[in-house]
Amino acid sequence: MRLDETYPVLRDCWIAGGQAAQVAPEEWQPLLDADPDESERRLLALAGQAFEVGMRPDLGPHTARPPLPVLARPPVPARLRPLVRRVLQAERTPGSGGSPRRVVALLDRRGFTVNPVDWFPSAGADVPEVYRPWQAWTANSADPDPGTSVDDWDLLTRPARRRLLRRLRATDPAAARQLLDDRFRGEPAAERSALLEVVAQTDLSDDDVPFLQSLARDRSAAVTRLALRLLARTGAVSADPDDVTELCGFLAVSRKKLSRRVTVSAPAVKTAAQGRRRDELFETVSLAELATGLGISADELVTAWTCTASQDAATRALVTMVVATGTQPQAELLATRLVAQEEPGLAAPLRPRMRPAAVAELVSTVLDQGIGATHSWCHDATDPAQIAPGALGSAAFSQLCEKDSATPAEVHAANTLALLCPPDVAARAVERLRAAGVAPQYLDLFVLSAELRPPEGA
Amino acid sequence: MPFDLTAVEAMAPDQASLTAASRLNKPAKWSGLAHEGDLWWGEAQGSGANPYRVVVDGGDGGYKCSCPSRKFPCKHALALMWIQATSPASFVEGTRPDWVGDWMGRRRTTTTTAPTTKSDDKSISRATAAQPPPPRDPAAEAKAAAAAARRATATRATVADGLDELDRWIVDQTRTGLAAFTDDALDRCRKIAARLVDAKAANLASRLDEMPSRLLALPTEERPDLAVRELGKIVLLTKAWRADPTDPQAARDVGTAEQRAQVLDDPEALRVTGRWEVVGEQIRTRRDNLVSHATWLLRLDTEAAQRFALLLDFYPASAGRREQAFGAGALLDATVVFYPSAHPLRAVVAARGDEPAPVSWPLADPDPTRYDPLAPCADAWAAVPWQLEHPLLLPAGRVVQADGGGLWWRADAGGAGLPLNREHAGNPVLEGLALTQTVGLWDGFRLTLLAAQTPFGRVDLG
Repeated sequence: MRLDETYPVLRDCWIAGGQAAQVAPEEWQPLLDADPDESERRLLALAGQAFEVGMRPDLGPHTARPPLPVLARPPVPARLRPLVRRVLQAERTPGSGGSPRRVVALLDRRGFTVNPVDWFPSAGADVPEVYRPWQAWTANSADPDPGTSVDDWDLLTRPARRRLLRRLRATDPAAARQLLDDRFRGEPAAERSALLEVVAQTDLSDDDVPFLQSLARDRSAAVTRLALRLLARTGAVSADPDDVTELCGFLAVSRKKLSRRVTVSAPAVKTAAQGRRRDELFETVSLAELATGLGISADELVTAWTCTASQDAATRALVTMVVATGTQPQAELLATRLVAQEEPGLAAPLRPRMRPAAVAELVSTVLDQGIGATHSWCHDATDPAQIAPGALGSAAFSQLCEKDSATPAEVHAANTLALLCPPDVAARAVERLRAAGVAPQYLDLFVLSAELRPPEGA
Repeated sequence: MPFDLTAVEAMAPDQASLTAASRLNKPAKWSGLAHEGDLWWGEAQGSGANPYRVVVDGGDGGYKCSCPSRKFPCKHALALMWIQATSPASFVEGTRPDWVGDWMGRRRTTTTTAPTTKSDDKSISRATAAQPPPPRDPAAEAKAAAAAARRATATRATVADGLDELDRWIVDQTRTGLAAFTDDALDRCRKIAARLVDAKAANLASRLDEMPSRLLALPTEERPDLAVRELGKIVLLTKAWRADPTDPQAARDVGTAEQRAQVLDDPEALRVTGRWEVVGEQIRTRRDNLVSHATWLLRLDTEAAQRFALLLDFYPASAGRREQAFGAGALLDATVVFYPSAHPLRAVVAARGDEPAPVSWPLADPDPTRYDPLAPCADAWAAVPWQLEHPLLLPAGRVVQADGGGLWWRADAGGAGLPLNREHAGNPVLEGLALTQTVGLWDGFRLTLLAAQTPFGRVDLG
């Protein structure tokens, strides 16, 4: 009798309960005992050993995924992997508010990729282009070529489609518009909204108006709302004059008698409902319309806005309005004003509408306002401005040197500083922080940044 | 600020600590002695399988040791200060390792230096004074030997009684049905385990206590197979112990393991000096509230049959996670001493050199026509048939999805496969890795991956 026939008979007997000696194969009988209990134990030992030694798991039909593609950039050197793992772990720690994405972006800027066992992108994540083959692997779709054309749209993952649109908006706006005309309506609402956000982060022209107007009756309210705000930015639509008047009523304009300097403020509202209505109006009225309603220019409105702690909500609404309907210089002007008033957190949403040079200019001001200010300004930036060695003398770095304990949130804030440092500045920061004896958790990302020199030949 | 002997004496909590420290006051008992400025550190081999990490700060007298001692400073910290005071040249100049930096970071607010106490009831001179050997008394020695023999006989009788009861319990399980046993294993195993603890069969008791968790880790249809295998192995173990209660492996697996010092002093214990890599760690909290910390080593510099070593430490769960000297991926040139066994696996590290340069894993080239991934287990099956887990160095393979469900490791050559532990199911990357070599643990039903070599480098999978 074969083992694969013998064993199941014995096992089934024991499963139900009873003596298995009587069903044991003839060849095993001489090994049993006159005592029935002893026979059962010997049978158990024989069956258990026979199962282990004589039987093998049978894989049967199965599916093997294709091997994970090797990426175009080298993985981070093995000696730095433990450090990368620690930093990623710190960014993932609940309560830290961190995001591994910005560490991944740092590695990408320095020409390296993450080991897939340490971090792996989901199919829909917005990650650096170099991980596109892994996202395609996850989505079981073909890996699009970086020089992919609109004809490949159906083959692309969603992040790859957004990247293609972003690239076309920068290099060939006409092709981008054609792409949107052809493909936009076939996408689900969330993706339509995401594609329109890509458009919102670029400069708009009169040529975009027909497409945006066609979205006024989109099935998704979110898409319609965003389209209307973009139209307002182009000046192609006007808000209801009553709405403009109502919003102006929520604001107070005063002019100094001698200097004739204008100030605009938002007096406190009496009820929460009034506050909600004011925010709603900020979303439907454009910056230009509001300025006209107040009898001043849009630039004057931005310059004259008074930012006090009591009107944070109104300032936040104004920022949203400027992001959606202001021009790039107006966005930069408002960001500069808010940072000057030590409100970099309120100004942060304006960053995507600013030129890199303007962002970099503000970083030095923010650093002088401390770690918290710096963190609120650019904690979510995957490509933050890079600072010069002189910034190590800023208030933010001085505060970091004083840290005598490390909470996940504080480490996350310190990591924001580390991400601003190019390798040589990071190396000097490590020296300074080590000398100050700060907790090692604060040092990890600085050390990683200092060690991550672009690979040879890159 | 370097230490001096007066300071060491003053910091010692008592004379016993000083005396114990004096015995450790030899650089040979330490590895990795180094310093950076006023920070001095090293690793002392204690009673566990892993060495203790010790660091002292010459700047303010702060110290830290990973040993479980309740004395502060412990003998290891005192000994390190002592060596620093008497032979500072034993320390090489170095950069503080992560574990030292970590302690430095934490102690800024939480650690305070213990007050030094100077008293007449402790002194360096008494600690170093040669203890005169007690006068020999043949009669007393014979009496003590006879008493020890009587105790051993009594213990064996107690264990034998416990094993008799276990025999009856095993037959009861098959008589009443393994279906009922697998449903009620938690309660039944706990009861017999308690009886075995009373019978001084501590390790066998623990094994039975952990059986339900192994059962529950498998799908229902496989649980009877595991019950047959485990009960059969226990029968084999009890028979081996009855055949020779002095057999070290059987005695260890039934009762308690030898002390580390006993293993090191055993002239017949297998000693293997070579280059090792830590291929994985497994930390499990047992039902008796002990944490079992297993560290698996793979010998790298051999073309002969693969050689694994298992460093096993236990500590109370209430003590929290303990830092281990050897993390996954660490390389060491070391002499490893194995616990006596017909198939040695459990071991302790006796001596250790500096961290060597990385080398590749030994080859595991299968014959593609008749490859059997479990063939390396044959020696263990024959010598210690009750062994639960078998480390394997597997050749090139992939992780695949079985159509019937679950992930499997599959050899590239021959196509033989082993089902994977379900803890690997949440890792989407596994199926995309070309595993050029893999280390895993086979428990008779599932393979737990520990580490692998891949086109992306060495990866930890445990």
